[in-house]
Order: sequence, then structure tokens, then C-alpha cells
Amino acid sequence: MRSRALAVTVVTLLMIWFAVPLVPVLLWAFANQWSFPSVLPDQWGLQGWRDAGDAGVLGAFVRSTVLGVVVATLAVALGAAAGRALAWAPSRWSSALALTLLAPVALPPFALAMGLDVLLLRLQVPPLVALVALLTVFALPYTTYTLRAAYTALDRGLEEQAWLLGATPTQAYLRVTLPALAPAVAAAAFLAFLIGWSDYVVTVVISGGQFTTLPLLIGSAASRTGNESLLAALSLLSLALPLATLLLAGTMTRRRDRGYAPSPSSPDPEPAHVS
Amino acid sequence: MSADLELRDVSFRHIPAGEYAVRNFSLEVAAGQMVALLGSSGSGKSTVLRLAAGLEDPQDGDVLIGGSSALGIAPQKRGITMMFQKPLLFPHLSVIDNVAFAGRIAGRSRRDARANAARFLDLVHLSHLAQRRSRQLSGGQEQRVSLARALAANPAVLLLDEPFGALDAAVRASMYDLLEEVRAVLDPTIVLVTHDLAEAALADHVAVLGNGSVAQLGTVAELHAKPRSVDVARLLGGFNEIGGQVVDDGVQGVLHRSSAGIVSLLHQGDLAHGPATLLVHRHSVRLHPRSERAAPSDPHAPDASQAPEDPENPEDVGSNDLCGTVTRLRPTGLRTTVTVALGLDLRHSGDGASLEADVPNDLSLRVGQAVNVSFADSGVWAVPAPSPAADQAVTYSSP
Repeated sequence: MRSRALAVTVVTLLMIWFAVPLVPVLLWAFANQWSFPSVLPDQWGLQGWRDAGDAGVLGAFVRSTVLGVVVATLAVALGAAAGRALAWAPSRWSSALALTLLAPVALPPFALAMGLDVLLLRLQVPPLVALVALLTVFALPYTTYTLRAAYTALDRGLEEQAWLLGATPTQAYLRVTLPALAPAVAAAAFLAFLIGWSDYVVTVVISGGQFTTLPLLIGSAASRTGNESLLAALSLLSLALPLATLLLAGTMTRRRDRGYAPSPSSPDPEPAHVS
Repeated sequence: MSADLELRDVSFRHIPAGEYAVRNFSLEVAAGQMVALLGSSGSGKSTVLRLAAGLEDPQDGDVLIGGSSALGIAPQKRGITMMFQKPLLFPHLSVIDNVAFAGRIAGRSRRDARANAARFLDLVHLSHLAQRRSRQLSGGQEQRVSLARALAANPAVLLLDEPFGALDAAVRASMYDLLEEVRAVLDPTIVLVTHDLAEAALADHVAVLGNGSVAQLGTVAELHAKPRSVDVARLLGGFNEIGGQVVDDGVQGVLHRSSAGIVSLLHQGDLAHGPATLLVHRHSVRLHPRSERAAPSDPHAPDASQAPEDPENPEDVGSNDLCGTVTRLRPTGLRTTVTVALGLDLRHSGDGASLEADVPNDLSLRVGQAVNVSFADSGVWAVPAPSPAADQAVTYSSP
């Protein structure tokens, strides 16, 4: 009872911790005017949203979404392969591979982006391709480690069992392994999507500001003063898609867990004799 | 549809320079037959199944299914399926869809595959759980579903890799009944891996594995009557081992001489004279409180080792008698396992020579009581000694 109360208290405090900074953003997004020291906006309105539309928020939103989806797709595919290799086929190179994959997390993104930008320019790689490739590299540690843990927890025998029931390796992967890994794949995809969706530094460095994503628009708005409504509207918009995805994933997980939960009547006891 | 399975001189090691998991292993299983592979952990029995299934490729030898080599044929094309120790039900599928999996893979419609699966679920008496997920089943139910799923794939050969090992005794017994039912209905070729003799007894033949090859092949009765080696006897369980020498004195025939006494043997053709281990199953040992029978005067003298026979008891005809002292009584329910230190003179029984006997509870014995130990010479069996210095008795109990 006491531990439950403690858990509720901790969760509540965490929610307040995350929600408090969002309150002014929410208020600013629907304020045309809000002067100090007023507690609430002096004038409510949608000026910030209109300014956002004028700044090209729709295009930026679409570009960020596409970038996030492409990065998530590539990073999950590569991370699944790496995670499988690390979990199911460990070799003397496993440690080196694991450390290499961690490097993007350990190294400063700006330094890495600058170095790779020079390299990719020399190789004449198109900026958009370079951007996707770089962000995928940054997302790879998250997808690899998430899926490595999932593969480690998954019984390899499931695939072998599927083969022995007539499935080809591809069929076994698509019909057995992938569905069993679905929650981890979703989590990894979400993390990788966030890398692409929210990146600022790499996008600025690689695209030279030509590929305007939502974070770039926010950065641009933040560099100016007197447009807090626009900044708040853009910030709120940048929060909307990840939050919606998170809520959707949570709903689906709960639904799936309900499907797995034991039915009200407990499993039948073993028959004493089979007739 | 069942098929012959043959492994011919198969050798396999997991890493190129490593030890052989299976070496020159040969086994033939006729279509519709069931063979059990009995062996201790690490004896290579599961590897044999993986080689047969195509999950591993042998470095030498051949695997033949229905008379044709299966080497190079992928596991999904061999017509073999396998039940593992873990049920390995696909967690995202319902029970019926697990059983219908092979049908769906084969291209059947969902409705058709499910209809076929329902037949096999009915066979394992789990039709009422068709819509449940694996997490909602007990261990025994999961294995039943796993068996139904394997059978629904219509395999030519069914491999069972200790599938009942994790189940409790009652559930295991019901699975044995189920397996016999399945055999009566479908008659598949089955290879069952186990380390449990009771489970192995379900099979038509039992192959005892040792050091990666077949140490002995036969029915359970044959194995018990004539275990070929100490290792086989140990695996079967329940044998007393008495180290000593086999001699033929030309008068009384073949004898086994040890510190425990002298025992006459029926002629054992291929046993050379010299170091040998006497195997006596503890069910064959009979104990008589010393007061009821005459004691041999000297256990080391051949004529003295023979206690007077009871002409009215056919089991006593041709029996061997040794002397000993009860050192431990262990009730096991309806019977009691008695440990007897062998030797007439307890001062000379300190070499550890002892044996165990299962006796009825109504045979009143107490620790320290002197007893005569008898067993018919048809109930003893000598095998080559595992090591020349093994002149002591060791008892390995049934699991």
C-alpha cells in the first residue's frame, strides 16, 4: 500500500516536472499579447499560428515527417540486422561492433557532422542523401541496442520451429520473428523517428539551411525577439506528432496486452487421464 | 505418411578443431517405428536430432530420409518436424493459428488451415482452448498444442527432443498416453530423445548413447537383461556394480571373484578373463536375515560362498549367496531400499564394497543386522571393467 502511494507520488511529480514548462508554451501559442507581470495573456488569439503558416510551417512539417520516417525505416532495418548479429551470433568482433555503434552517441554531433560533411562533399554525395545517411548513423545506436535486447530475450528456437513447420527463413522472419519483436521494433522506430524529426545541428550543417525542417524553423524564430506566439505555436506543433505517436503506441500496447491477459476463467487443469 | 530415417556414420563437431559431439553415429529407424535415444547430458542426443532435421550439417556421413540423402536439403523441405523441450508456441498467434501455421505456410486458406488444425486440436483434447494465446495455457497444454502443431504439418518423421522433460509427473504420464494414442491413429516415424528410462520405454527400441555414438541398441527389456557396459548400466539405473576378476576354474564354470565374494556366472561368450565388473540389478537382490539361513563360513572360498539352496523356491536354484551387514534403510513407499556392506568379516568390508536391494517393507531389517545376500546367477551380468583398478562396488540408482 505504501509502495503504491510512493509510486503515485513519484509519477505525479514527474508529470508536473514535464508539464510545467509546457504551460507557458501552451498559453503563448494562443496569445496575441502577454505582457509582464500578467499571470495570463492580455489578449487571446491565433496570431502565432497565422505567422507560422506564413513562415512555411506546413512544408517544414512535411519535410520533418518524411525525414523522420525515412531515418526510422533505415535505422530500424540496419539496427535489426546489427542487433540480431550481436545477440544471436556473437563473435570476437562483437565488442568492437558494439563500441563502434555507440560512437555517434559518445562523440559531439557537431564535430561529427562537420567532419562527415567535408568527407561527403569530397565524395559528391547529394546533401539530402548525406543528411539521411548521417541521421541514420546517429539513430543507429538507439535502434541497435533496443533490438539487441529484444533479440536476446527472444527464443531463437522460434525461428527454427517455424522452419521445421515448412517456413523458409524469410517466411519465418516475417511471420514469426518480426511479430514477436513488434513492440521493440515500434520503440526503436519511435526513437529513430525522433532523431530525424527533431534534428537541428546536422540538418543545418549538411543542408546549409536549404532543407527547412520544423526544428530549423523553430531555431530561426527563436533567434529573433518579439515573436513568442510564433515560437510557441511551432514548439507545440513539434510536440504534437511525437506525442500522438506515443499515445497511439500506448493504446496499441494496452490492447495487445489485453489480448494476452488470462481470461476470467483460469486455464483448465490438466486432465488426469486421456481417454 | 511416415518414412524411414537413417543416419549413416554421421560425425559432427560444433567448431572445426573441437571435440566431436557425434562421432560415427549410425541409426536406422523403420517407417512407423519409434526409437528412443537415451543418454546423459552432453551425450550428443539432441545434436543427432538437429542433424536429422537439417538444423546442423554433419562433417561426415549421410542422413537418409525415405532412402534418399537429405544432405543439402533445407530443414523446411525435409518432411521432418520437431518438438523441442520448450513448446515454442508463437506468442502472437492463437492456439488454433499456431496449429494452422504449417497449413498457412503451405498455401492453404485461413479457413481451410484452421479446419485442418481443429482436427489435430481435437486429437490432443484441446479444442476448447482454440482461441487462447500461449500465455494463457499451462505447461502441459502448451506441449499438447505443440504436438498438435507438429502433427498438423503431416511430417514423415517426428523428432521429439525431451518434450516432456519440464512437465510434472502426472502431466508427463498423460502425455505418454497421448503419444500412444497418436501413434495408434497416425503411425508416424518417431525419434524421441530422453534421459528418462520410463519415457524411453514408450519406444519400440532404445538406443543408448555414449561419447557421441550408439553404445547399445535394443528393447528396454534387452538392455536391462544384458547391458553392454558399465556406462549403459549406469544410464539405465538401478544396477549394483561389483569390481573384480572373471575366472574359469574349469569345475564350477565362469566365476566372478572380488573382495565381496565369489559369484558364479552363466556363460558369457565374449567376456575375456580378467578385470570385470559384476552388474546386479537391485530388484534382483534378495536379503535373508542371517538367522534364517546358514552363513557361509568363508566368503572367499568358492564352495563356502554357496548358501544352501531351497529346493522349493525355484528362484534359489543356481543362486549365489554373499554375506553382509545392513548399513542403511531408506523407505521408498511400498518398498525399502537397503544398503548392505558386503563381506563376512566387517573388518574387511571397509573397502566400500556394498550393494543396494529393494525389499518389501514387511521384511523386518535393522541397521547392523547380518544378512545373507542372494541373487540368481541368471540375474547377474559381467561387463568389462571401466578401469583395471576398479575392485569396489558402486550403486547407481534409477532416476
